[in-house]
Amino acid sequence: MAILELHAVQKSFRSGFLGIRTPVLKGLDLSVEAGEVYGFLGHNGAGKSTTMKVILGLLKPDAGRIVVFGKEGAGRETRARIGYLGEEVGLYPHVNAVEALTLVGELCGMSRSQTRTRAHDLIEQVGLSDKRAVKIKHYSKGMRQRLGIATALMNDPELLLLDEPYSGLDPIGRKHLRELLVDLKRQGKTILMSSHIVPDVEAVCDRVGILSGGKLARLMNLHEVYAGETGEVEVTIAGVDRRRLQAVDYGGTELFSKEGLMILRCAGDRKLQNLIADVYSSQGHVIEVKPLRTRLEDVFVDAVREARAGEAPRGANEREAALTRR
Amino acid sequence: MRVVTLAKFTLKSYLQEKILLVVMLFAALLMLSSYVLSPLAVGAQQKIVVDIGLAAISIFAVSLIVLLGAGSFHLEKERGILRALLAKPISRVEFVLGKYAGTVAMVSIVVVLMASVHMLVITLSGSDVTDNMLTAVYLTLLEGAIVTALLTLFASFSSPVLGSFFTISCVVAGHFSSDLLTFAERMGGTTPKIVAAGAYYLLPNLELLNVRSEAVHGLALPEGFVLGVTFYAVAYAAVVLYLATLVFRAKEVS
Ligand SMILES: Nc1ncnc2c1ncn2[C@@H]1O[C@H](COP(=O)(O)OP(=O)(O)OP(=O)(O)O)[C@@H](O)[C@H]1O
Ligand SMILES: [Mg+2]
Repeated sequence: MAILELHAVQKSFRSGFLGIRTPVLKGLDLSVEAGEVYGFLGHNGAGKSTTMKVILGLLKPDAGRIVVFGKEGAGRETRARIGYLGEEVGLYPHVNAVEALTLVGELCGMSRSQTRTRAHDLIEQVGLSDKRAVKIKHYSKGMRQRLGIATALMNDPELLLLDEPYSGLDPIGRKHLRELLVDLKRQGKTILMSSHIVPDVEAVCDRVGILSGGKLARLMNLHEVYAGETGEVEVTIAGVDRRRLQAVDYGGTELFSKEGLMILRCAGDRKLQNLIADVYSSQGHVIEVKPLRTRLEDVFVDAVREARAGEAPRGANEREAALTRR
Repeated sequence: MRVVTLAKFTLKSYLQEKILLVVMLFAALLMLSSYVLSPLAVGAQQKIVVDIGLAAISIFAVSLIVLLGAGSFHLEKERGILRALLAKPISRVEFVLGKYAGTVAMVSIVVVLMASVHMLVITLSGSDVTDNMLTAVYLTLLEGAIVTALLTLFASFSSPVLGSFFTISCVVAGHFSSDLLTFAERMGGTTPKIVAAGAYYLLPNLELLNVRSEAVHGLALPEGFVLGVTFYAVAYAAVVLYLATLVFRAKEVS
């Protein structure tokens, strides 16, 4: 069941002295299923943030329909079930974490005791316990981001709209957020998140949509993408004389070779077994064997390039080729 | 309920502004100095103390509304606070009303505090606090309600900076609006007459809320004046605020 649906949504902005309209969304169709984590990718200025604002009714679409929880538009009841983290976190500078969360809790109609316990738990969860009494204007960017995540979660929303949630987080914060998102998913929450950090998207998302040219240029199921591994592997070996070991003998190609170090690419079947056996029999050793798979980054670059060139979508075969290109 | 939450929060954030303290100290100093420094005979001195004090309360109240109110709108816009708040389950009307109520509460507190200092100075200078003086303070509260509504409206459809400019213009024009009517009567031709009369009714008649000279000279106010003026101010503020909600509902928050 789709929790969030966008049908042919268009949005343009007036800009310049003459107020000429520049289109940003040109008929965007998007559908987010219940319980999934949807990665929303797109180049800078593609319109990801705009899309989220349109979903929340902060911006009014020029055309198209937005259906959230089966209802048109995002009225108050609908927003009560949504958690939103914007590009800028949007916190009053003169209050502390507890006060900021209390405001959100009260605006969401939570009782005082409910608000207090929830605020306490969330502050703990995002790792701000020791900063709970510090005013937000004294927070670092990452700390504000953590608190922003907490405010988005305050009303225990069923649907989360996270606009670059990883922005400004340190490696520990990123890891925590990743775990948090996985946990939320386990709780059955639906998440739409935009991000530029591909590994973070790969780590938590079920599906990925790439926004380019004002439309959804690609829609991929990450599980399928991974399942469709190319069957090739990349092998790094050391200590073997290049003259004694030829990549072609194993149906592969040599990618790199220098001072006994060699990187080969070959099919990950029997030939790989032979290769490894031969490496060890000639006193060398294997440093790494890496299965090659689709790289989201490549798909992304491709989708953007395509949309920029204004090409019609490529055929399925070519797309497959793009998926597996390394 | 959400309106109350927002109003409370808005008030609290105003009360943390240092400028509030600075302005109030300045007002207190002004009132005290009007008493201490005035070299006039006792009777005239008392009149000056009353006049300066009441004028200071009104001017500082209006300045604080514009300064802090516009500052708060600006902060919310620039830091994405407005967007974050409106993504929460509050309606835009609730937001406008909450902010309005918080701002009016702030200015009311300030007016009451400044008036207390003023009353103290008056008592020190050896005269009595009259009913008219209290009425003057009450009418300043009404003025605050109108000015806050105007700021809310103007900040809703323009930027906070422009909004405060429009508000100040309206306040200044509002104090001279009765001149417009005189002007209209002397004017030849119907069109300028209509324009001048239209401006008179459109602008808030803030001079109506000014009873300083009655307070200073101990003149009697007409029967039913306070009630009538209260009705006018509340109605005017309500209409402006209603317009503000209309504008704000249609606003795009990016
Ligand atoms: N309020 C606005 N007025 C005019 N143009 C706007 C406004 N908001 C966004 N835009 C334009 O719309 C386009 C999309 O902006 P948006 O912020 O949605 O991009 P994004 O995909 O979130 O980019 P990023 O990855 O940099 O965050 C940009 O070209 C931007 O200039
Ligand atoms: Mg963005």
